[in-house]
Amino acid sequence: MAGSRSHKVSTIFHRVQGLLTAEGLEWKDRPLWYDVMEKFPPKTPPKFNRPLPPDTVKTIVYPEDLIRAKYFERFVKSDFTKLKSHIGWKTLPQMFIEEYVKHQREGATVDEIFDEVEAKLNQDRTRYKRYIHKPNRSTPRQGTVTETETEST
Amino acid sequence: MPKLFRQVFNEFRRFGDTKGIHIIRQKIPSRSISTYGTLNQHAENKDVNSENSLIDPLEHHDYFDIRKTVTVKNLFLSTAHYGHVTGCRNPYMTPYLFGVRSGIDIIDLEQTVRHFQDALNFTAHIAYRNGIILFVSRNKMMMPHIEKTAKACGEYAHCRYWSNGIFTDMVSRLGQNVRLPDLAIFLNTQNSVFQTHKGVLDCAKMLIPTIGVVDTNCDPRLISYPIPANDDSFRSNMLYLSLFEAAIKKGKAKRAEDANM
Repeated sequence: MAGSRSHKVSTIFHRVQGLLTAEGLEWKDRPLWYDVMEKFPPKTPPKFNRPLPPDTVKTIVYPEDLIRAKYFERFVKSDFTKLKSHIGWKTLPQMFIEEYVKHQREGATVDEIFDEVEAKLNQDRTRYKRYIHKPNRSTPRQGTVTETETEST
Repeated sequence: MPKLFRQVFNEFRRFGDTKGIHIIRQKIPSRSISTYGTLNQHAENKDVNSENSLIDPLEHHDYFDIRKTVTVKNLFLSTAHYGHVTGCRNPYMTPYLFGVRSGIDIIDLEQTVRHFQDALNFTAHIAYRNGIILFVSRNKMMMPHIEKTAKACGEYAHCRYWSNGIFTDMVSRLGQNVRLPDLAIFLNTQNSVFQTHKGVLDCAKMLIPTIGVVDTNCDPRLISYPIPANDDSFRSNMLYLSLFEAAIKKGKAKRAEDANM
């Protein structure tokens, strides 16, 4: 079939249309897909030369993400995500956070609720016992010399 | 020889009453593939199977009843919304994104559904017109499944290395001129991690429409009907294959049905 091979110019539909209007291609010889594409055109014309779309992508953040951050500060990530079938499957952090939301009330600090939830879940399921507290990395390690000390000496 | 419904329709138009027929493009003398006359009816609000089956398939929004097969839930459960790490993103994929969750791009499945429906409808129409459909992929994991699917629906697959000029320089490659496909379905539009599949470019050159599952690291520009979705997961790939297979089979079944009418 006749046709331009310059793939960067316009779209395939437009190129065939041009051939038909210029009588380079007879109407009976038009490609099989032509009528279908005319009736159901693509949502965006598949042009190679097109302006860059605006780079505005939002970040997905949930209200319970603050709790999630606290959770990962406290506990070691001890379980895995099940990719085979995640229907009806919840990860340990997710279960913890859902329980936390139930316990949330005014006047209670975050640490208090954390302890409550932890105690409750440990009671229910044995696997929650495995949680280990992370060492607090914000405090300086033993043996390191701080600036104030070097100044005094 | 069974007549195609178009032939029946042409006879009807020639000998019957032409009052209710609305003809477009009267200047064009000959046609071999599709009708240009349509019955003057509001086809979109009717169920084709129960009502008049002498409707031009192109006049119906969903002639093959295929659009309902794709749902957001379906896609979500097969992890079609997972993209790549933000650093890998192709800038032309940003309109299809829902957002970024902890450094990973998430694809907007509502857009995916709309694109997928269009793609399936187009596939079914090509199958209905007896077009040749070629499944293309370079994903080794999916290769046997794609070939099986293509065989099951009586179409073709090319899942091996794409040598240059297989479309553009057939005579020296294959020894003779070969009929090219009418539609190429790319289940993976990447050749390697950074390169676009050479087939996408060749199809654009040879005026072959393409349907492609584009992940967030793929270039959707040259693909006629891009489907923004995860192309790495086995589960999602199997879902796409089943959907395309159903579309092709439905198109062919409709063709046989209309021919026997």
